[in-house]
Amino acid sequence: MIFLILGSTGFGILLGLLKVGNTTAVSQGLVWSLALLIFVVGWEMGSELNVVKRLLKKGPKLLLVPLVGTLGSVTFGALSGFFLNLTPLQSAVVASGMGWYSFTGSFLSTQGWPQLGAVAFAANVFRELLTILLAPLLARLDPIAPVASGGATSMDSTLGVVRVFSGKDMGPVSFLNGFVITLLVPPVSSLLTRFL
Amino acid sequence: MIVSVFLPLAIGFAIGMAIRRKPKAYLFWVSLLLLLFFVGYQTGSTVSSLSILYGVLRSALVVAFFAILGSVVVTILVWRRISR
Repeated sequence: MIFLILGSTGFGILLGLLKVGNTTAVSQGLVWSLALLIFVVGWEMGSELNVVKRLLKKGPKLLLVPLVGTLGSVTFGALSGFFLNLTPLQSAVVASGMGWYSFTGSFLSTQGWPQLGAVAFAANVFRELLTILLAPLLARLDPIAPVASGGATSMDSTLGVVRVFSGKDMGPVSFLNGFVITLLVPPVSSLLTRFL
Repeated sequence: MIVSVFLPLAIGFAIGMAIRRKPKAYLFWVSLLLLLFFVGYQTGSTVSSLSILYGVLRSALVVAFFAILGSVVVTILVWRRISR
């Protein structure tokens, strides 16, 4: 599957570099494929609502984990703008993707920020990769660290590494964290984008 | 934004809650691959040279590092308080 992902993205980059195709059709395609993906993600989350309800009964305080994780990411992301050719707000928007690369990159492109969308896409891919690579080190710091690092991906693609390095007990926390962050990313990103 | 983000999320969520069954996996993969193709195209048409590509990747890596650092530091502080 990784080859399909790389192939699909790489083929798109190649056609974009060669300027082959109709840009209007691509913009429309971007909007509708984003809508389709978000619809599917929403469906999946709706079907898992009972799991989340059960987790929350164990401790509503667990909700603090995704909330402060998002806040920390956006705040520190804004700080990174001072070291780059980006404004703090732009870097905060990029960081607000929380690892959900397929959303943030395409969302910013549809809002008229294609170059920032490219940065957001790559930054959130890096976030997922760094989480997988750094999970053993982060887990030594604290078992919650890989969960926080994974952000939105902690409910799916990085859930496996969290369970391996932080322990199986951290699995439900990781799932809840990813679930809530996935719901938070669209409103937070769109709110920040309004001020760009 | 409402049409492409919030409406599909709300409709999908409502369907998932109603039927309590996950969507077929191929739906997710088809939509993801389509989206990645279009994101790739936008990236390719925006990034016109290797130096710009280097700049994009450098910025992305720095933001990703800071975003992880921020999430980890703040979450550890809060987690140690609530898990006592």
